[in-house]
Amino acid sequence: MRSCPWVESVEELALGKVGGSSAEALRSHLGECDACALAFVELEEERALFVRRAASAPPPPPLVLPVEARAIDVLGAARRAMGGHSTLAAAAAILAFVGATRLGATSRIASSPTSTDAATGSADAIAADGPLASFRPREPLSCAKDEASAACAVSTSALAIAEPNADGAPCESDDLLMSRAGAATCELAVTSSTSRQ
Amino acid sequence: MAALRDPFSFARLAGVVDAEPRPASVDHQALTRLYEDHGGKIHRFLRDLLGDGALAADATQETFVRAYRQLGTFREGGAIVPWLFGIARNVSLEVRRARSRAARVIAPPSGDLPHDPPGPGSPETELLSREALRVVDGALAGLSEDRRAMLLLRLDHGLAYEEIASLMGFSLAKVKVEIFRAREALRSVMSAYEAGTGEGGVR
Repeated sequence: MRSCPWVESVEELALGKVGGSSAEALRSHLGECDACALAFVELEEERALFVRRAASAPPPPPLVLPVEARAIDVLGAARRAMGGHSTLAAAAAILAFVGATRLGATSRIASSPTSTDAATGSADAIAADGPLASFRPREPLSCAKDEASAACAVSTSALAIAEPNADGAPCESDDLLMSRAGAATCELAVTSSTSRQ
Repeated sequence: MAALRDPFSFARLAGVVDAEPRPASVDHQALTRLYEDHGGKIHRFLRDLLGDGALAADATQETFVRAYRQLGTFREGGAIVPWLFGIARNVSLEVRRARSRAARVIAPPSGDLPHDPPGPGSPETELLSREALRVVDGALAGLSEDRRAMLLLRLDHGLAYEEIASLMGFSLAKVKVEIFRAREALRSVMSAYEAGTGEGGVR
């Protein structure tokens, strides 16, 4: 190891981590200390090699968001969509998210960007076009109770829960809202299946 | 799960949220920005440690997923880059262990690391440059994993000795000695290469 106590600071200078007056002081020291001058030249050469090497490295793969990040997004969107019904929003979001997870729509990291995209198809669709984008209703919502029992025939959605009925009156039945949250899960399932095909 | 306890703390960490946190997507932005800022170097580090592009890609994703989940382990006021490198190193160790358990044949780390030298130049210069980088890869492959990781963290990623010691779990003295030896090994290989190429000639 080198003897000069400044040598580590000189290394920092060669790595570009020192600036201003400290850098000037170190540079003037280099003119007086052979050990530090040698250390500086060697490290600069080595550093240059690694910089060239870094410039030729391939770019990282695209990021796949972790499951929690997606869940928080879904929950946030559901909460916004449901106004004061935050408990129901959480329930709807959890149901929807579990539905997606059970279908393998949320991710474990796949072995390549391509396979990752395939494995996370519908969840990516949610993230890509805003939370709950894939929940948008295909038909106008009405407040008829028998709609909720037709869960997997799904023409309702989690987003639609917060919207007024066709006649403009808000839907006030919590039971019905919960049933529709279940229906939303089914819709996500249908969407997931479709997107995975 | 730290992120679920405080969904916005990750965003604050990455400096995405200013005064008022916005619900939803903020975490996505934070994580995405963190990945944009540091994904490249973490990927390069993992690629150098694992010697396999596909494994490195997976490990990079895993590193950021864990960073998201382990936010609680990040000390307030700490530096995020060494923290990320620490997670990346743990991931690489796990990947290596898993690979050993699977008893797969491991190619030498330099085998899967093609480097295309940047910038224009004469064919001879490019050839030399490419070859020099291959020599560096070979020299790195000849180091033990710990020594290679420490050298890369210092020379490639510019971490301080103290940061490297902390993230590797070694004493500062050990880190300095290991990096010194790794640099000696690298210089020895490069000197032999330069002697072989003579005045710009190719071996």
